[in-house]
Amino acid sequence: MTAVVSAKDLCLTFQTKDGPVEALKDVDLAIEKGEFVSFIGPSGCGKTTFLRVLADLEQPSSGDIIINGETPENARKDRAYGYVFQAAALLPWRTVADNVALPLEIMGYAQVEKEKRIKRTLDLVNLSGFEKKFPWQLSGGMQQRASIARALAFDADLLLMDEPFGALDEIVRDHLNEQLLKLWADTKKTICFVTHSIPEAVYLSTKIVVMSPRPGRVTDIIESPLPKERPLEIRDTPEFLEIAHRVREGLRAGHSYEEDA
Amino acid sequence: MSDIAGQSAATGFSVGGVIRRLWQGSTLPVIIVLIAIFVFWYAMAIQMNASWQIRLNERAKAEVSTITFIDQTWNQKKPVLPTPHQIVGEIWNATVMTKIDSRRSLAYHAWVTLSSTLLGFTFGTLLGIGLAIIIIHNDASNRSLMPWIIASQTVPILAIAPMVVVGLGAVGITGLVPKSLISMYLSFFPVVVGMVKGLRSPQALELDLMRTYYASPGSGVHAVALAFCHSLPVRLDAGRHRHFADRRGCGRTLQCGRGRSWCAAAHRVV
Repeated sequence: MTAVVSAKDLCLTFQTKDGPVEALKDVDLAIEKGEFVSFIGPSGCGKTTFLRVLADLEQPSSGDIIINGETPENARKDRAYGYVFQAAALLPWRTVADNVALPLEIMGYAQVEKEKRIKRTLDLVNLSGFEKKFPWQLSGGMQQRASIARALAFDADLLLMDEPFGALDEIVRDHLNEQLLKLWADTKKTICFVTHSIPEAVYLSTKIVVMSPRPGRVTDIIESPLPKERPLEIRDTPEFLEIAHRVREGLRAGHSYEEDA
Repeated sequence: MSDIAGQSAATGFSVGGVIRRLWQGSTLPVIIVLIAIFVFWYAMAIQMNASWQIRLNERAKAEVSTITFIDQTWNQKKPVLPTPHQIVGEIWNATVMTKIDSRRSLAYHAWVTLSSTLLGFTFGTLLGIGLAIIIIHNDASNRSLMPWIIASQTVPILAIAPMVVVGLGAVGITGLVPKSLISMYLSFFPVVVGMVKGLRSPQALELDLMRTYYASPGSGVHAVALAFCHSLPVRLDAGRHRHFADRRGCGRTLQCGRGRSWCAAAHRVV
């Protein structure tokens, strides 16, 4: 197994008007190829910041971070990852198919290849038949699926997802979680997934990174013993509840630290 | 009774149906107002042209009936108030019936006006785009240019237009350009304001997205296209995008494209 992402003593401090804010402090983490890693923690714990550092959208203040053996900047230039934002961010004047085609157009794919990929990725997210629809004609869940298709379109092996289902209701979210697991099994991608839902993190992940705020740091890394095949009912098994309990403990530990300080 | 009405509506073509359609639609009010305008116009033509017609008839020692007199007031050679049919006839004569290069051709004179307008609009658009690009790139230029741009619109340019033309003539700029400069002065302002607003409308999320694609200005014309699409203050295709526009609380839609495909876009007002 090769490490897709490895972070060592990673720190990031934002300089604000009220003084420096430590968004990340001494983060050590290794993500293997094909893993599904969830980052969980209360708001302000730096989970999104960490993802943005991976994506070269933020620059770390100190420490090392390597993606596919490269710096984040070079990884970005190699189009090594697809990023799914919290909001779908589809361009309203483009159809679903054209939105998925956007990265392909920027990256200069040929027309035939483009059409093939649009079809394939829309199949993957179960949006076949919606190619000609405009974003406003889709539900929130479908919009987010279209944005996932857009991130998958150019075959990056690493998928970075920043609370992609955060704005959706529980029923839609369950459904999308199931689909996401299937997609992960089909595509064998490495996925980094930011969430603040414990069941979501436990249900999806092979590895759960529990983080705590001020300064943002990793308090616990849990390797999930759950099998790869996960029906939704797995959430009622003792194993599932045990992991969920450990995540909750980790979150609580982070909070008590904050109160002591 | 209602059955009959229903039947006639169902067949789609009956006198009753047409009348009801006229009554419910907006056609009838428009027609009524148009008729009222024409009636008033022709009535005023009689009133305003009458005194001159009376004098003409006195000179010619002609005794005319009322109907003939009205007809005369509506067809004078040089009326105080020309009637609609005289105007239409004159436009026809001055465009279609006159040679295009004749000094009496309305089309020729329309071109004289249009050429300086178009040149001015081109100047204004270029100036507006240039200023907008400077303004969005740094705060200093924004804060130093914007007040002057706004102040420029308080100058009553039309009132001092002759002075502008004479002044520019004194420095050797004559012909089409002085007139164009005046229309440029009038037209650059909305271009600047719309363009600045549009170029600023892509949100942080959209810019991040472009960054994750490594869409540098060189490799990805789209980053610019995205911003540019947002900045075109054109209202088109509103019907198709009404729903989106309404949700956004704005009705401004616009078109953009990469030559190949024209597609509609809704301008974001956040």
